[in-house]
Amino acid sequence: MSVEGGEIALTLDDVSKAYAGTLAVRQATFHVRKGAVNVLVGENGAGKSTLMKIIAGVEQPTLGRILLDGKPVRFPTVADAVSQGIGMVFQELNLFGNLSVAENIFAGRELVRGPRGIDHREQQRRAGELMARLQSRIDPSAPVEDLRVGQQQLVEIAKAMSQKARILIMDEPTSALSAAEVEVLFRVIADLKRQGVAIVYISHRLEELIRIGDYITVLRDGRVTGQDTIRNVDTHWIVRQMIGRDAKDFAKDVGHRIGEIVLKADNIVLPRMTGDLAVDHVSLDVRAGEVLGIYGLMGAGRSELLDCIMGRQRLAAGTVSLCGKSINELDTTDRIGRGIALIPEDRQREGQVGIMSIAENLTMASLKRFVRGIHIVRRAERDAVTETVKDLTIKVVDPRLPVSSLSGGNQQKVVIGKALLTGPKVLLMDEPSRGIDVGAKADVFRIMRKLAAEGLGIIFVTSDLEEVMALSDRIAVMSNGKVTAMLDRKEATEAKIVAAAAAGHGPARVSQSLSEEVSA
Amino acid sequence: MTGARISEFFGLNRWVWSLGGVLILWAILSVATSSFSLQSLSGVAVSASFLVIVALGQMLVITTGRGNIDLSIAGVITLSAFVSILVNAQAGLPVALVSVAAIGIAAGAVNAVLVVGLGIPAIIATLATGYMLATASLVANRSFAGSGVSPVLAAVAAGRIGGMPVIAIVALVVVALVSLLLGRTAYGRALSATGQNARAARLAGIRVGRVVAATFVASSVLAAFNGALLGAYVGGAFLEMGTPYILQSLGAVVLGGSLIFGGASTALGTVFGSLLLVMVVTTMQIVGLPPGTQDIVQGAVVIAVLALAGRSSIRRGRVTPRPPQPPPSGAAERLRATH
Repeated sequence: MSVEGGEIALTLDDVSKAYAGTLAVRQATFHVRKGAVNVLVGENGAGKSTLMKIIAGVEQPTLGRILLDGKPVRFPTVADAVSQGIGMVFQELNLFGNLSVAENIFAGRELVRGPRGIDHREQQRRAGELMARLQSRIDPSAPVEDLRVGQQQLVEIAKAMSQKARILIMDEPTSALSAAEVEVLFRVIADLKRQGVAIVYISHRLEELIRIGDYITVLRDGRVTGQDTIRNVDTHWIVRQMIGRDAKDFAKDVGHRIGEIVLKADNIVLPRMTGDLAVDHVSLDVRAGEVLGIYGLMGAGRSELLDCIMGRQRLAAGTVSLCGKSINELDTTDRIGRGIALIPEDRQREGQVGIMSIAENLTMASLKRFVRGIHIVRRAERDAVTETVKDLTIKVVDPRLPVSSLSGGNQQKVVIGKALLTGPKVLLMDEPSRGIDVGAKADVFRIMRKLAAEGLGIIFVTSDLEEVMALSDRIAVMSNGKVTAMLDRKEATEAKIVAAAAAGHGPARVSQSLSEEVSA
Repeated sequence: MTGARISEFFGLNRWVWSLGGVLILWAILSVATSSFSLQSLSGVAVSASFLVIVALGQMLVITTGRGNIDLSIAGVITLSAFVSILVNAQAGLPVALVSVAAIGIAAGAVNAVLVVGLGIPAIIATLATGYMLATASLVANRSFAGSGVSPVLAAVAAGRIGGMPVIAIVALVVVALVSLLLGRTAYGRALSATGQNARAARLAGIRVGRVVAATFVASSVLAAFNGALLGAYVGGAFLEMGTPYILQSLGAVVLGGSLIFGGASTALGTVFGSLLLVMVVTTMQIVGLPPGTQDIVQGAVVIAVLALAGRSSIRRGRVTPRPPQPPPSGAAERLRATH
């Protein structure tokens, strides 16, 4: 799978990276060529971030070598990588909000002038030059927290440019940029290419990759599944490499009746702090006994949508109705009382109370059921706990032990059990299989199907393509806060879903052409 | 009993340590000094009773976590002592008790609004309300007309039934009530959950704000009645009479084994914590240390306990790291394989 091309600046040679129990990258070989845009693409969890972190010195490869200009090197720390001319624009912004643009750009390597300390004027002058190169009118003395996210992203890019990197890694640099800002960024990238800088470019926006890239490497499940020059490929090829050649439709009927609409969300809008929309006019519904899968990339607004339905976002607009009655005026507590329950994405932070017992965690949301007069009837509580533990096949030695003593999968089952004890009509599940082992995943999926068969409406959010295909009766694809496709199980294909997940971004032309592809 | 079982027992019943401390100190005092008689023990019981009533309120506030604390109790105690005596002299005991309750509820409500409603850190909010109450005490001090202590309150505060101080019985009743509240009611569960993980509590339908607000009111009301009883006990009121209770209530709570970070409290532990602290003070009095030194030792004890507790909670954090997140793809494939 070797690709002819320009001079190679850096090579990851047969690199593998193991985290506790999982292989994030398996024997990947990746060439970074000088004066070119080297594109890395893959689904969430395919191993892109790990590869980048290895290049940037954040992580060390478990096996394999890093070759810089043909010579083996090691980057034990980020500073070592930086000293070799490797710069990185992180996806999550690493800026100091209370410092100025110039101070951020030169953070850690301030320009000093003898005993007089930091030369703020020179820093601001140079920051101004960088901003001018990015054709941005951002004031170098403005505090970063006053900037829009897109502008902050430009500051990140300016910071990397100021380090005069030979190899510049950009992780989804356009995710927060407006169409005009994207154009400027592309011009800057072209400029850097002419200076011989090797750029590693990561993005989910396929059209964008085709336009800007020179070489492309596709990852799936930690393996390199395709490598080519961009000239030779199209979006269909990329999607095929991303989801595998053997992609097939394995959605199957679980054989139960689907009933009335239980939950309806109408025109939900949620603004972000920065002014744009986290959830952009989303309408959807779920019926009794139906599993609605919401697929989308991280940051597509999926969790925020669930939060709106749950009443956790004060700024949300639109109507949510349960069994035909509006529940807009109710707070989270009352919504739970009416029959909505949320299994949160972050189990540790929102799902459980670590040092409370398994039993106490299970009954936490439904204590009212067990209260006679003023005290909790221990017996009733114990019975409910025993029953739930059995129903959900939670592996516990003693329900009185702290919940933190359980494995991740069993903890997740406790969180699910807690929600079920409230007697919900609708279950919202945010990444229900994240961070749990294979066996527990299968259990969780079985539980979801059983609950649907019992007449619950289930909305679940996932970044896993196969999962959404396997479990959903209907699939809503979200991108950039919008629902870009609503597919019935029968018409859903992986290609359609992936394309819709990339639509809704950037220039209207791109998203339009992609949604045409979806509807085609 | 295996080692793991034993450490588990101590982990779940942290009050055991303070009980041990009480017993050891008592044994040493009995053996070493002939002057530590049964009578001084009952003196310890009376002091500890006053302390435990306040400390239980403080404990409830601390249980809510996020650094919540009630520093206004000193002001509440002092003002309540003044008001109960003044009002009792002019309008009788029932009105006096209503006034005391009103002070407690009002101070607690103000604290709750500041902390829960406005999001001001409790350490600052309650310090400020405490100062306002202290100023009110100054005003009351000016119109203070001798003794008007209610004989009924005096009987409760200083009386004995069959050698047992009445105040100790009162304290035990409060302890029992708070124990039931924590262990047996939905509110107690909600309080623990809020203190440990407010986000998860909220998602479990618990109205976290109300839970926290209630503890501030409870703390102030307990402090207010404690102030009235304390005034009756000493036969008057004086400025600063509540001040020692700030550090001592905190000391009793942490010595008793409640987590300073919130979420896990024990009323029984607070009882032993109060006893232990009072005995430490008594010991120093017997030894003849000056009052200033006593404060230093009390402060040092609290800091030492917190230092140890802080270490153990760091250890706990290391034992349960976040599980790594494996790449999610391929799950459905494996699911199919299992079916």
